[in-house]
Amino acid sequence: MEQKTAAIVVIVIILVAGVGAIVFLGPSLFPQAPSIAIVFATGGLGDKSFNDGCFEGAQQAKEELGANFTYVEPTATSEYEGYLRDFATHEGQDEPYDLIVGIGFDQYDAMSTVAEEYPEQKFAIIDTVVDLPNVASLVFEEHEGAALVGAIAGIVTDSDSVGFVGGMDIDLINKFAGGYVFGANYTNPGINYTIGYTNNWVDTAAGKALADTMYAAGTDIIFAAAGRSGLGVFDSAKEQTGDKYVIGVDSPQMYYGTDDPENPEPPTVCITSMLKRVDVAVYSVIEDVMYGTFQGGVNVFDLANGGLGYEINEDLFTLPQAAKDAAEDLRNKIVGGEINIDQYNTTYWE
Amino acid sequence: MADPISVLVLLTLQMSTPLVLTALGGMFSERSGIVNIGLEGMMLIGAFTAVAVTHVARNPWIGLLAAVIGGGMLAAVHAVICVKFKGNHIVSGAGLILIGAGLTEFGSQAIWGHKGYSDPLPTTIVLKPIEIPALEGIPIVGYALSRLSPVIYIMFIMVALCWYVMYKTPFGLRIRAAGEDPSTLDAAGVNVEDIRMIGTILSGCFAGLGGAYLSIGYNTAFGSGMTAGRGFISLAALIFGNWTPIGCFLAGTFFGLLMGVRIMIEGLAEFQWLDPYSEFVAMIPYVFVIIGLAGIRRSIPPKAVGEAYEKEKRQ
Repeated sequence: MEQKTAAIVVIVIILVAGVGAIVFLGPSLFPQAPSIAIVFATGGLGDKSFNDGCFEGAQQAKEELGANFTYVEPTATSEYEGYLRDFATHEGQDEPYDLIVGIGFDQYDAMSTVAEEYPEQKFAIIDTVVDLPNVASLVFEEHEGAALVGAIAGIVTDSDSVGFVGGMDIDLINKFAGGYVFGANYTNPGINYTIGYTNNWVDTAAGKALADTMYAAGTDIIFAAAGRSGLGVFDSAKEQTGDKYVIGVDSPQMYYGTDDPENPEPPTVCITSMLKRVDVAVYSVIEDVMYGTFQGGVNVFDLANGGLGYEINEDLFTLPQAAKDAAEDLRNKIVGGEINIDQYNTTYWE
Repeated sequence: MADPISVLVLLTLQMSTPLVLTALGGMFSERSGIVNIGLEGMMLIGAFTAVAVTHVARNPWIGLLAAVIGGGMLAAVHAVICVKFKGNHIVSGAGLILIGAGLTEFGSQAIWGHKGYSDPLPTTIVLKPIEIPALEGIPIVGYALSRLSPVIYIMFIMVALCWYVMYKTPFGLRIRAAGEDPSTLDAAGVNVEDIRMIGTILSGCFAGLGGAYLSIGYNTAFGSGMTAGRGFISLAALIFGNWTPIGCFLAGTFFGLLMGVRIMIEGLAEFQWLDPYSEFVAMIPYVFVIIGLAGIRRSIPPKAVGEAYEKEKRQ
């Protein structure tokens, strides 16, 4: 009898532990391919940088993790909230989503509202922080990447004068500006710099006009962080005589600086691009959901974890060895904590 | 290195060209009696068509011609609705803006496989500035004159041509009569509806040209919304310029100058201290229109603008 009781107790313990293990450890032991819904930023797919990068990350998760994803491309910021809520209630959709990803800082309001309404639903947002337990905020230390391309610009410039064309005078863009000017000063102390904003993300003509002006005033390298307006800087550089260069942003854009971007061949006016690996961010958050390690809060992507970098494309343009060395040196110092860039230190340009 | 004034002259011409061309278009439509707030949509269609056709034909001049036709075709929709079916001009015009935005996004998806943005054209097949180094030496304007886009020359020719057509030809007289007093024109044996159709389609042709300047005359690619409200500023220039060719030119150039000033404030190190005021400068064109229209000088629109013409209607 006692043996029997003991056996039953043991069996019960094993069962409870087993069920418990499955409940608590299930996601990591038997990962389920998650369903993901993505609400893109208004720029839409085909922007060759931000949204396309996110799409690539999701595509990679689909191929490697078996995740399936669906997405919408809103055309106006006012549509964000409706799409987010539709996905959260899976209204008009086949299934509940394990994760809803909002791309872009301007989804902050919509995400805050909807995430609060559906506390059980997991969300992720890129480029801004939504302070809710069910939202993972994926942010980048853009100033660190911008510092590296700034260091390159400081070496490559002949006129000791570099420029920055931003989309808007906002914190996110000023992180690029601050890091860039810091980096240029690091390799070329006391360098001249000009900072201008197009105040528009789609007006390529404004981007070009701004770049024309800067180049005419003697600037020879411009870092363009202004969405599609920034592509106007490329148009301007191509028209200039003499060595006028551009630095691309977010995704590899060196091909865009060639005379025929459809069949890129040297020369290119784009010497490098600051890479912001949104694909890495999207992939990693999908991975977290799949293995049950998803946590709300801030996830930071920086030089140390490979979320940022700069483009090297020797087929199109060979950077001087000194520039590469300086950038690597700065990278090591930033990763090692020797140099800490104050991201919003506006005294760099005042 | 160029001095700021020379740069500003060039910027003014570059920024004002699409405004002047589009305002001239609006003039043909509104002087003939058809309100056209859809210029923005026609500019977008022009910008898109220019890139799409240049992409296929590998020649920017064919692209430019196609943009004129494309803008005209969208305006023809407006003409049919407003003239033939006597629809509401404002509603139809607003619809055209949406059609222009939607059709170009759809078109770029169809041609380049991504929504709202074209692949960039090779620099060998866009309209490059005509370089005349001999003019470089002229003070103030030399820097600009030595590197103008061919479309800017076309703009100057069009201003002169429009003035001539409007005031020195029977066709111009008929356009003006259709907007001022259509029943008299009708009594003179001219078909008012035909004149209004032609005027409206012409407006689309000019707006298409203005849009094409942005996409292949200045930049090298199409992006949705790249006109960035220039259609509306052109409309303001048209009103501010009192519906005349010279007025359109002066008002468009003035607005272009203000755009150029804003760019200079943003882009030149010596003006960085003005940075906080750059948005203020960007606002000035709109404020000027309001002040100008409300106080200083009354703009006088064509008398019969916005009214459908009905034959032998009792007054």
